[in-house]
Amino acid sequence: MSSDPLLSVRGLKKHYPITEGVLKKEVGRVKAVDGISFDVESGETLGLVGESGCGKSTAATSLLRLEDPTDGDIVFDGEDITEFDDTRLKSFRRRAQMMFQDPSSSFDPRMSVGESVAEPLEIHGMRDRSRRRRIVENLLERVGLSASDFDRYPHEFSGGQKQRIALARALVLNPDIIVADEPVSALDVSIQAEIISLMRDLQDEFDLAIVFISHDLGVVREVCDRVAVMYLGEIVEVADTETLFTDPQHPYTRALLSSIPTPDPTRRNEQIELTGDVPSPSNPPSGCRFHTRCPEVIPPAEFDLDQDEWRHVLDLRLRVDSGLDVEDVRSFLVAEGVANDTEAVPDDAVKRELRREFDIPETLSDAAAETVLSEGLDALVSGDHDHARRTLDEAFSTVCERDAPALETSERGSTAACHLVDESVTVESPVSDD
Amino acid sequence: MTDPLLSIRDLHVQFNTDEGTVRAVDGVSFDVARGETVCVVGESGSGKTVACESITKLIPMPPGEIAGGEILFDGEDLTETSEKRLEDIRGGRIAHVFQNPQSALNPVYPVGAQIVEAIRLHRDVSKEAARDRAIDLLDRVGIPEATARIDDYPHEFSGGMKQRVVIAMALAADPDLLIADEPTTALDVTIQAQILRLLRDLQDEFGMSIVFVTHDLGVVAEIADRVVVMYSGKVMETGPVYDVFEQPSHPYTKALLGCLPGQGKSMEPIGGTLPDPKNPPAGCRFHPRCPHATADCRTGDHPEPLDVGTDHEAACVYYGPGYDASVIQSDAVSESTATDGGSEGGTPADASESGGDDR
Repeated sequence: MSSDPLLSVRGLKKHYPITEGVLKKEVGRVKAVDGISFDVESGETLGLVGESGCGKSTAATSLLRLEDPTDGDIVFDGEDITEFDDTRLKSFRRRAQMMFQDPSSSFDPRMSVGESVAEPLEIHGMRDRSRRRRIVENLLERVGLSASDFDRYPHEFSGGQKQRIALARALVLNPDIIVADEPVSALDVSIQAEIISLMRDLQDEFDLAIVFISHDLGVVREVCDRVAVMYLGEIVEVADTETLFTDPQHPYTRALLSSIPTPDPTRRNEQIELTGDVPSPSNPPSGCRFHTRCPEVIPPAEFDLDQDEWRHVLDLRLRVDSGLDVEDVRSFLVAEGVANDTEAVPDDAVKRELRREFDIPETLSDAAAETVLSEGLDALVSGDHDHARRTLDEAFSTVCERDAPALETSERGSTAACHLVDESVTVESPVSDD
Repeated sequence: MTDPLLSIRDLHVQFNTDEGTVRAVDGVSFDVARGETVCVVGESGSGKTVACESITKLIPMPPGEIAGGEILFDGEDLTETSEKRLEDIRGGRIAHVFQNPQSALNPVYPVGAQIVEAIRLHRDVSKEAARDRAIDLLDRVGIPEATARIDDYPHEFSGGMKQRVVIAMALAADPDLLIADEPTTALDVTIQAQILRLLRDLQDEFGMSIVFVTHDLGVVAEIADRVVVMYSGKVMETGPVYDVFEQPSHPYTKALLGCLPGQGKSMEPIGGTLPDPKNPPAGCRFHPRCPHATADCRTGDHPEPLDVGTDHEAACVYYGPGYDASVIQSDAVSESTATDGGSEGGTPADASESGGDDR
């Protein structure tokens, strides 16, 4: 890598305030992007992937200052664009363009496509109408349409063709970088493949850097040189595309990759199951943000639990922390016909149900852990929620919850933010991959 | 296969619009056996959704019209059935799950009330018993603490959880057939994996048949027992999932598999555009984009389905007399993508574009 990347993002943050009342008092913040750093070399394609709500689109709009970032530096070609005034921002935007997901809503239906594509030229001061037309006609041909399409209107084109036009518009100012937010997600697979190969060809021709945002890892593998995986506003792993896909370091990356359905029926049931949903970005989990769902979350050294067991025990503990109501379990058992009213539900049945709900075996494989768990469950069932909580919290804690891991570079060249990669944290029991 | 649960025979569904008749489904036949999962796969405009919504006449009529064919469900022809009887079947013996769980749930009622309504519509039970069953269903579809969540409103659930609620509602009357139309398309991959696993588990538990409509071949490989590949209102290929993926026989199926991104091999765009539904090409619907198209493909009717293996059919002339099917089976699509691709249906530029790229 050269020492001077085209775009260098350091500690980028974008928070949205949650306000309440007429005075718009700030009561919280949605931390959509919470301190991400990455570089983009010229001519390179960097993928930004993650599930919905992970902040990838916010990162894109903040990157071009379509929205002002809350904090952080965005250095483009040696200059920090977060400090630009309007005039300099305008000239920056000549060199950085954006492409959106929905090709239908990104064109003015009353303007011919030629006018739409030529508009950036006009805005940036090209007064000569016939020259604009020449440039645009030429460009339309380069994206696989014909010059005569200049005077046609957006509704006359299919989705794939509209996305070609969007590409022409992004290229018309001859930019150095394009930020493309899900550019092929709205297209059918057979059309998707064409747009992808067109983008690759044009990238070579124009020596473009592309920040390619997508939730579709198949497309990302096809398009990108390097990939950054985001989870809840943070980058958890960055690596060269092939390294990332063949040797993912972060458990989240592994789970995400294994969740992609492969078109091979002989390889069913090979996914790593992630339980639960993505937590809210307004109140992200402490430590490693993925610890609430991580299948490889590090167990406490004093217990000898297998990984699944430990995951389920931790699930129960986290649920108790956030206020598990035993009465609900009782009324569930009433609905299931175990007893006639909640008073009559035996405590043992409640405890059994809790173990069933969280997939915890009748007795844990580690006797000491079982003692703590039983004590916690007893307290919970007898109504002493605080005691249950204290007992479980004390015994079942993990480094993943306490400390946020830093992005560490492994010897294989990929960078992951995970305590499992970080050698300074000793992991007692070997963690299985499957 | 003896006595399929659902048997669609030569179904024609058309929409009569001011700009002409759109034959969305144009002679489609397939069977669904009991306890089986059949995936109907195709791109947009292939007619997959219309075919499946016609089963219980969910398509708006007019402008929609079932112009011909039979839909035999457990021996009864649903195209002839009275609306009153269909109301019992919908949500009763045949349940639907749609793509967007948000719009399938009423935002102003708690989810429990909506499930209870579905149960009591088809079963003569008391409110209390229905509520207990609703709790049980929510628990079975994997909603934690079902008793606490039953009185929550739809907006209090995440997208994946909402889809679980919709599935619970579909299961309310123990359906024999579940029609799931892109049920995971609006969800993230990790949540999609959860829902697919859930559907498989529920099928084992309840023994229902599933018709699963999707555009995603990855999902098909994950869940299907048998596959129906549709294109432009026609069935191109049907067969057991292992056979279709191991030996895709119709050039369209091959091309569709070839253009999937991220498989670690080079991606081959199909070229051309999807056909105009108002004015589909004569002959084989795929011929303008097909690398193997011959003169026979360009005229007459769409080819008849021909046997290519056990219970495996493809509607392609190459499997008929006078043709050498090995041309399709052996060749790598790459050599000839541009020979005919796009020259009729799409812009000529499309073909040169896709043909020129060999990386």
